[in-house]
Amino acid sequence: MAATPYLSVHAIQKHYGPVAALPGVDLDVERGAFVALLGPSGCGKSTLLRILAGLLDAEGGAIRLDGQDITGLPAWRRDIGLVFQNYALFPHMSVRENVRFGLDMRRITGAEAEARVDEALALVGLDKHLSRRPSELSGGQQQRVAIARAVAIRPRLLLLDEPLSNLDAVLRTKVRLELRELHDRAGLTTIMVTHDQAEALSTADRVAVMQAGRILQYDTPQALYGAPATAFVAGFIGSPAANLLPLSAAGPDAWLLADGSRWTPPATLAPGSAGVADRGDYLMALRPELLSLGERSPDGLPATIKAVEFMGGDRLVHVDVAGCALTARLSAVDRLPDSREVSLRVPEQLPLLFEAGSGAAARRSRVTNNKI
Amino acid sequence: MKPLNTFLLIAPAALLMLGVFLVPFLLLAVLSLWTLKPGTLSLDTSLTLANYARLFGDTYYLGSLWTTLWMSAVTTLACLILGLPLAQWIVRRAGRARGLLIGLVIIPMVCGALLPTLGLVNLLGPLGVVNGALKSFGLITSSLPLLGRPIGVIVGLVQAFLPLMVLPLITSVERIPLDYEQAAMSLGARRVTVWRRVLLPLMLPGIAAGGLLVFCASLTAFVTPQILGQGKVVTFASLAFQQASRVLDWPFASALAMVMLALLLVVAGLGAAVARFARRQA
Amino acid sequence: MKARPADLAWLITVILVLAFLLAPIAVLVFSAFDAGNIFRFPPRAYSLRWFEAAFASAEYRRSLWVSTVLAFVSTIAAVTLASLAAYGLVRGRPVYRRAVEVLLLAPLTLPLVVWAIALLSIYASIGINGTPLGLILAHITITLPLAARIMIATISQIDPTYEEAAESLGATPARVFLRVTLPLAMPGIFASSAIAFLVSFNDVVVSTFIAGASWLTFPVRVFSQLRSEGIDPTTIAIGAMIVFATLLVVAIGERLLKLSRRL
Ligand SMILES: Nc1ncnc2c1ncn2[C@@H]1O[C@H](COP(=O)(O)OP(=O)(O)OP(=O)(O)O)[C@@H](O)[C@H]1O
Ligand SMILES: [Mg+2]
Repeated sequence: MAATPYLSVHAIQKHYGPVAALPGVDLDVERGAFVALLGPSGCGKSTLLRILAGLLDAEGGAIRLDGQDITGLPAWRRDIGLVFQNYALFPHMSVRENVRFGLDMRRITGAEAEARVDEALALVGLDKHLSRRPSELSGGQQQRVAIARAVAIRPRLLLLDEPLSNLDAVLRTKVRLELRELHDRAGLTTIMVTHDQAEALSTADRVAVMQAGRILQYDTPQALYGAPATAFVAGFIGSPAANLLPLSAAGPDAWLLADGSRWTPPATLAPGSAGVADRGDYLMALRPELLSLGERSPDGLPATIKAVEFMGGDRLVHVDVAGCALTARLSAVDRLPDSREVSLRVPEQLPLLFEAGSGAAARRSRVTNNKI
Repeated sequence: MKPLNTFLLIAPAALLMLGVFLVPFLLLAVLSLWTLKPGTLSLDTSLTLANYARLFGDTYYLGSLWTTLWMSAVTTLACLILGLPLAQWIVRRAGRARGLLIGLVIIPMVCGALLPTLGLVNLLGPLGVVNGALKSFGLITSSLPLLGRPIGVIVGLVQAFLPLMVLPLITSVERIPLDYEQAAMSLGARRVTVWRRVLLPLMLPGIAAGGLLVFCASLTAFVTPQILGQGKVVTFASLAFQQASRVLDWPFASALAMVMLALLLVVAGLGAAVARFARRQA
Repeated sequence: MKARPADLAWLITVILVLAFLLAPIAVLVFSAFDAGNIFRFPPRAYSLRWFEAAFASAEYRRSLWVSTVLAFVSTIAAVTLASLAAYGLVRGRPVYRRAVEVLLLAPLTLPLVVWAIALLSIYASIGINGTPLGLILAHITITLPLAARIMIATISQIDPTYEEAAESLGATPARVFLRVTLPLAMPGIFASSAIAFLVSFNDVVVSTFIAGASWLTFPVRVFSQLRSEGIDPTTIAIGAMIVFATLLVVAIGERLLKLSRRL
């Protein structure tokens, strides 16, 4: 490992009553990185973010930022910018006054303050309505003001809590590109919380996937997609997410499906070449976009088409395989077989296998490091 | 916020209320068991139920208690009858008009007990507006005696305490979505049925709260009864006032106060039971 | 919507009820302009002589001054104490929150007369009966619950993320309070001050018990005079002016602060 990371979060714990919101989180972030915290609702993303900002006290663990231990530091001494999900713009101050607030607190006044306010507003591309109250702005404009306010203090770390969730779909795509640009131009180190994976995968250098207060995997977007560390990550990333097909090994050449039927796949997909034990229950992750359908054949998975959803550019075909519902994503121009009784063809590459009980990867197609 | 800071913020107000409000109530109970040494103003601190015996053994005091009770009950009922249509009307007005109406309703509350009562004297007195108007229309020849009788006192109490009924009613009516009413009507219920089966049960908490406030206030009122009753309608609270401020028999005044408190607790308990019963029915 | 007979009856009922509610105050103001020594309806002549008498009377001026000072001091103390407590209760969320709320709001439901009797004997035994201190303490006690109720509601409605945002921007706790919480709580503070002032200024129930000879508030003076000598028309004129000031405060408060929605 290289020199100590810019931000290092170690064994952070937080309980709400008896419930552990965070049982002990580790996270390292390099200077200049854009990191996304991705996870379903209630998994503890906001809690972690608020602990980083100093608005919540952790019960255990340590946070170091740029060589300084900030664990016990109150929020107002941390120099960490925070953009709230509802923006929290002060309703009794104008846009300019909002952006200047952090500078006032640092006793930066006069021409210098004005210049920095202008700079922050320019970074977010806001030059109109500066003497209005926040309530007189659109949602998108409010969000820019919130970011400008956090950036104006030249934060050592910028935290964004679901910054795009209050915007409409079109604006969301636009603003996430702008966010990334702003991060690069201002030379910030950013952590963004989101439960929208498209947002995380498209914007961040590294994504930490969280579930129930734990970081399951912390990796590049490519690695999360190509080499999920657990069945949960595989079943979470992708749209639609990977199918998880339960099966158990029946010798080196064949699998038993859930209904007891036997599947003898092409050699690369067999238990033997996947390097797993001859016995045992597994989940095989099948990416919908890598599946294809054909006439019944012996090495394909026997499947029954249940429904077809037209999505524009492509189609989602819902099939039943040995009692499990799977989804395949086919291009709209692909022909569907005439019969509903079809074969599901799995690409002949190393499969992603997880142990059925723990969800841990049974075999990795590629080794990844868990730290940056 | 740190627990110590929280405590320091709350402590001044809490200590004040504890010391100046709660503690006197506790001392009241003790004081009511003391007596005044006969012929003096000094206190005999041996504990005795003599004050209570004197109170319950004298028909003058019992009569005044009875007068107070029935006048309070009538006042409460009158406030309810006048308050219900007013509250429902106000809730249906749009924002600006509603604010204005509620503003009008609270005026008697913030004017205190005295000023409206002064107005009532001039309204109900022998030369007042009511008698004057009736006379000039030739409906009566000699003034109706309104002051110095329970009717005058009740009018004053209703006027003074109607806001206490209307405000909780407004709160409870506001919580009833208009949809309920429309849903019930769309199901074919007649207006009266809607009112009785849908609105009334939902308003019961407000009725119980308002009724309790009005009853308590009437039971313990003494400014309005003294002025409008002109010494001829003696309520329990005016007795207590006389004993405390004029006769300076604090132990006996305390006993009178304790009886009022006990009555209120009983009524409050009944009110809470009714409200709970209503909630279960609704 | 078509006006139906039932709606019309309802409207008339409401107008009558409101008229009844406001009639005494209207009569009070009206009768102040009667020129006679005893109000009679209809008046024989109208004049402003009782208003002139009111301004000329040093005795009434003094009691009005006592009432004003008392209301002013009590209001400032009650609103300050109530605001601090409300802030602690809402933001600190202590386990004893419920209990303290019950304690602070108790005087709104418990009978003040009963309390005043108890207070009188305690005051007499520690020797502060009839003193400014005793009156001020009592008036803080009757106004604090009203202020506390308004301030608890006000602070509950301030989104705590404003305060957190300020903190993350580098504001110390004191500056968070001064720059963010206080400005946002201002409407509630004004509303509770207005209510507290009016209630304290117009109080007669509690003050009558504990007022001393040298510290007589205007309502107490009028009440005791009323029982001995009947109505002095001068007090009617002063009462009319107080009513007018009260209406003004309520109207401005309603317009700017939605006063009635905060009670
Ligand atoms: N103040 C609190 N008291 C009790 N439990 C809380 C509190 N705040 C959060 N929690 C619980 O802690 C867990 C994590 O909450 P957190 O707000 O961090 O989730 P999140 O990942 O940000 O979710 P979302 O995407 O919905 O914002 C949740 O299960 C939540 O119910
Ligand atoms: Mg969250």
